[in-house]
Amino acid sequence: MSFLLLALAVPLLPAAAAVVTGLVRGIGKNGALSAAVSITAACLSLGASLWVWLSGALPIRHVWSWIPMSGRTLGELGVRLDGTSAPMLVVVGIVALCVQIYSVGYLAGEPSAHRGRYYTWQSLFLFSMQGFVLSPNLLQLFVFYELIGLCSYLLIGYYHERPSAGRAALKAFLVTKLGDVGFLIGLVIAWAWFGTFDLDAIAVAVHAGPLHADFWLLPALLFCGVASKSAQVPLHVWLPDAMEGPTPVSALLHAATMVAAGVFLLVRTSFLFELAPNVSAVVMYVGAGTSLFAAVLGMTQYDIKRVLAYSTCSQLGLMVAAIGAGSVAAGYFHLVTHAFFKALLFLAAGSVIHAVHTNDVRQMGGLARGMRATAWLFAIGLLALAGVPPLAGFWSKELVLTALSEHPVALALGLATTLLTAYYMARAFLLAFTGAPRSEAARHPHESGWSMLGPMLVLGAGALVAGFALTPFTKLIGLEEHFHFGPVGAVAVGLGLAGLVCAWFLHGPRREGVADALPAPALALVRSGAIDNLYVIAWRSVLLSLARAVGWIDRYVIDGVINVIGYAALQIGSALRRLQTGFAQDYVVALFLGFLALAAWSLWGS
Amino acid sequence: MPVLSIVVFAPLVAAVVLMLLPRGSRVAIRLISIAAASISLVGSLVATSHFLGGTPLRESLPLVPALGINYALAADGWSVVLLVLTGVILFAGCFASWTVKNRDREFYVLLLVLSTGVFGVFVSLDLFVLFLFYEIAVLPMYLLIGIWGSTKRVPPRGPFAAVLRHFDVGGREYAAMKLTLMLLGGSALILIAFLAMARAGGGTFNMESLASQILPRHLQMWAFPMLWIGFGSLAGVWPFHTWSPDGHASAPTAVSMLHAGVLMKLGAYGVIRIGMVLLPEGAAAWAPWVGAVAALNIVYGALSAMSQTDLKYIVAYSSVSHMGVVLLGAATLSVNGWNGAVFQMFAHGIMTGLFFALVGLVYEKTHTRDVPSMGGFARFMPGIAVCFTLASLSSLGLPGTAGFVSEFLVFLGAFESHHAAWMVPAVIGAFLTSIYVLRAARAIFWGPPKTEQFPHLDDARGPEWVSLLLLGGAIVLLGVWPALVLDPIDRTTTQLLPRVTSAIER
Repeated sequence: MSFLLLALAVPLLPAAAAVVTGLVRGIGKNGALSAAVSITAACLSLGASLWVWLSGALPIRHVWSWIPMSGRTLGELGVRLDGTSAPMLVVVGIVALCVQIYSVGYLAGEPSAHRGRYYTWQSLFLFSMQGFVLSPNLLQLFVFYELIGLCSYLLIGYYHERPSAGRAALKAFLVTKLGDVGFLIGLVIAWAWFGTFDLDAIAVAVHAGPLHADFWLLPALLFCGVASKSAQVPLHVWLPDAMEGPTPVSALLHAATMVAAGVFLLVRTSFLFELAPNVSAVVMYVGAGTSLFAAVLGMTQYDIKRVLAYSTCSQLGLMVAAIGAGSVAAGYFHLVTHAFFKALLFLAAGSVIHAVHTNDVRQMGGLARGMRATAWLFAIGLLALAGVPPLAGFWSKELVLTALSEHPVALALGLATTLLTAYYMARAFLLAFTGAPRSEAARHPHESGWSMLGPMLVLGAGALVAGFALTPFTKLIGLEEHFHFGPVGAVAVGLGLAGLVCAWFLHGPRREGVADALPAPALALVRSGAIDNLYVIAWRSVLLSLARAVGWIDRYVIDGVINVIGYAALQIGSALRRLQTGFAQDYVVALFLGFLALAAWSLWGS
Repeated sequence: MPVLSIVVFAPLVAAVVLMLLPRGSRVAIRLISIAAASISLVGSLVATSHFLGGTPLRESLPLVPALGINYALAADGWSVVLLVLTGVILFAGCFASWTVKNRDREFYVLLLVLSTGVFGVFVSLDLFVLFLFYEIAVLPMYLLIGIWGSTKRVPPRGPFAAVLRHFDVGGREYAAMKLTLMLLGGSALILIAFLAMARAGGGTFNMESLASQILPRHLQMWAFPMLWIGFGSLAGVWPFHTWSPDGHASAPTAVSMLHAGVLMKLGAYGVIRIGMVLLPEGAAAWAPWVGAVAALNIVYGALSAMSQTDLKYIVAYSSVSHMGVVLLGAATLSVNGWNGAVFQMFAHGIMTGLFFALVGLVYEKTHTRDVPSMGGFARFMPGIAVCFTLASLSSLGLPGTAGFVSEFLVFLGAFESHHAAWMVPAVIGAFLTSIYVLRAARAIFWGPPKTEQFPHLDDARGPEWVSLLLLGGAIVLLGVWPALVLDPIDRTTTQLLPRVTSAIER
């Protein structure tokens, strides 16, 4: 019981912090106080999650009735803490705590009340994510999935007076909501088929009985939800724009919360995908395709955050592909290691942006001289992402590519991604940190303070050792898969190094080159955002036109009929009014005619 | 103590007291109205606790025994939930009308008379008495819109603007007349159906004794669609919904709140409670039509809302869309569908009440309802912005708000019914809702502030906060703890639904 309380504390402490900072005006208007409340809660929540994980009290499981139906229970909320969710809680807790501490320094120049609001959303976000990770059933997964989407909307739109931030927030919400429509339908179908939302009960049901004829629909619909949150093509369009939020928010979104939620959902429901091989194949190819597609886009970007955004999209593709190929452990492991080094990269990028006040690598250059610590940390993150041994990314990427090794096309896509990833990350690093400064601000960069460097160091340590430390103890994170270095791994490491070398020769400090590796027409094509335009067309020419047409029909056709009826009634009334002439003679004539008519009818009529 | 009668007549008594007050006693008028609303609200809560305790309240008094008419009231799970909703909205509405200046005494009198009618419909056990209350609820609206309605509006645009101006479309007199005539047309159909049902049922108007017998099949077949259209016109059933956008847009804040928040529910309540429960075979035969039209309502209302630029029209069309969810739930003839339908009545009531309260506040401060001309208000009215976002989230069915529970239950019910395809338009409608409400929220509150056009804006103050906090809190409370309202609803659904499902089997 005490461990159950501890597990409950993990999401509820941040929830309490959100309520306190959101509703108590004295705290909410005071940025420092809100930060203190929020960080304390995140810290305690992390402590609680570590304690339950390491105490060996797993699995913990308890549910409470939430939505009643016919005297029974339709929906439940609860806690399911096992080998899969416990490590995720810890990873989310670490990243969120680092981000919250980092934000103290990063947002120091913002108005106090704005920071109060920021920490309210941050706490709410942590609550939503931890509640999501702890979900024992599909309904709770959906509930928190949507709340995660809401928190992203609020945080991406933190600078709400910037029009671009408003657009980006709305886009993120709507695109992810579009995928969630599929998730919601899947939820309803699951209820209709199994009469429960509980994942364990569903697992028992699908393994015991004959499957429904259209069983593939369920995993396919769930994958819609995964694809939108985890930014798989073609639902990835919101992710690059989400860079409009403050950089620590991007770190949180890209490492441990928003996009991780999609992959975690896939992990939790993987038993459904295993029973639908066709859907799994689609999942794998979508993932592999996304990874290469996003990597190519990443090569063309000059905005340092957008480079990282596309790399997230690309790495998520790898995770999804691995799970589609049947290796849940590989995808999940990559999710965990990726959380560390991607958060690190974003925070390091934030440190750079904080120093030079631009996102554009063309305005940077030579920053390593003034920001030695940031440069080192960025380099660690980049090497981890490129899969250089023995950093975190190496171990997990190795597992992912091994998982794909039976599917030549997917493997080829994955390996190409590895090459390009190493290239474009090194390109960003070289353009930003080496060579000569290319702007006034870049000439005098200042290193960030300890509130920002501290969290980066923690994450840097994670990026260094997470893979190494966790791999031999795969059981610790609920995995059974064992690591073994094979030919695929060797090729991957080789390609990674080749990518780094390519970048050195194309953009190294001596080259002073910001030139692109792709030829101009290809660049124009990939930068045009063809998929974005499809959405714009769908919105403007289809949906909005339809809406206008319906609005017109309502106003003129349906309402027109009503108005015509009203008008006709008036006209008929004023026409009939003429019958009432007011002259007695007229009435007597009418009376006489009526009498004649009645007499005629009584004589001959019947 | 006749608690139900107190709930019903407290507003009427207060209205009489107000008429005796001297003109200009501004605070007294408001305090008396609020006191009456509080008495009704507390009485509703007492009725709820009695119902949950297993002893539902009932009252009976012979009215015209020769015709089988009794003043019979009863409060079951659905009634108590809707009583509480009415009490909450009336309470909030009294605060939201704090700033009415023109003939404020008469305004409050009419508002209170109207709510007596609403309370009465929800507890009446006698069709005749119910009809009386129904008319009391509908008629004051004509004066409330015609006298206190808003005159400033977004002028008609487009090639037919001249025609619209000729008919004064969108004007308050036009809106008041249209609303009253369309709803009275509906009540004529209701009256015919009621009289036929009472005659066929052996000369009783009592709903319980009518429910205990099976009315002739041919009667059910024609009486049900009359009730559906008659009550449905008040519930915004397509194509009899067009009074709603004009009416809600022209009405003053509190009237919009009550009308969209509560009165539209009278219609849906009538369709389910009288149409479906008393005429189960008619309902079973017509359910596919009811569901199809409701699905159309959802998508059509959402698309219409998307095309509007007037803030009140957006909210009004969203009501048309959301009432479609109620009727879709009803048409599924399933436990989840009916639970969802009644829960949606409650959830939509508080959500749309909050929306109209906020729209009223924004309009009061900016004197415009034209969405494209607004922008960046979040800086000056952060409280209003947060509440508006909350209402939007409930509207689009975000988990954690009341709107999710009801929509989700209706989706479940739709998929379990014989027409699983109904779920598709319903889900699409929910997605379309998220587009238009969040776009509106962005256009109003996000972006750079337009300080030149709107130099003096401020947040909600004093009494205005009461309604916002009450309704906003209710949205979150019910989203987190739906059983609070769903439990009484569920108990009554499980009593009423078997009548209908057994009729389907016959």
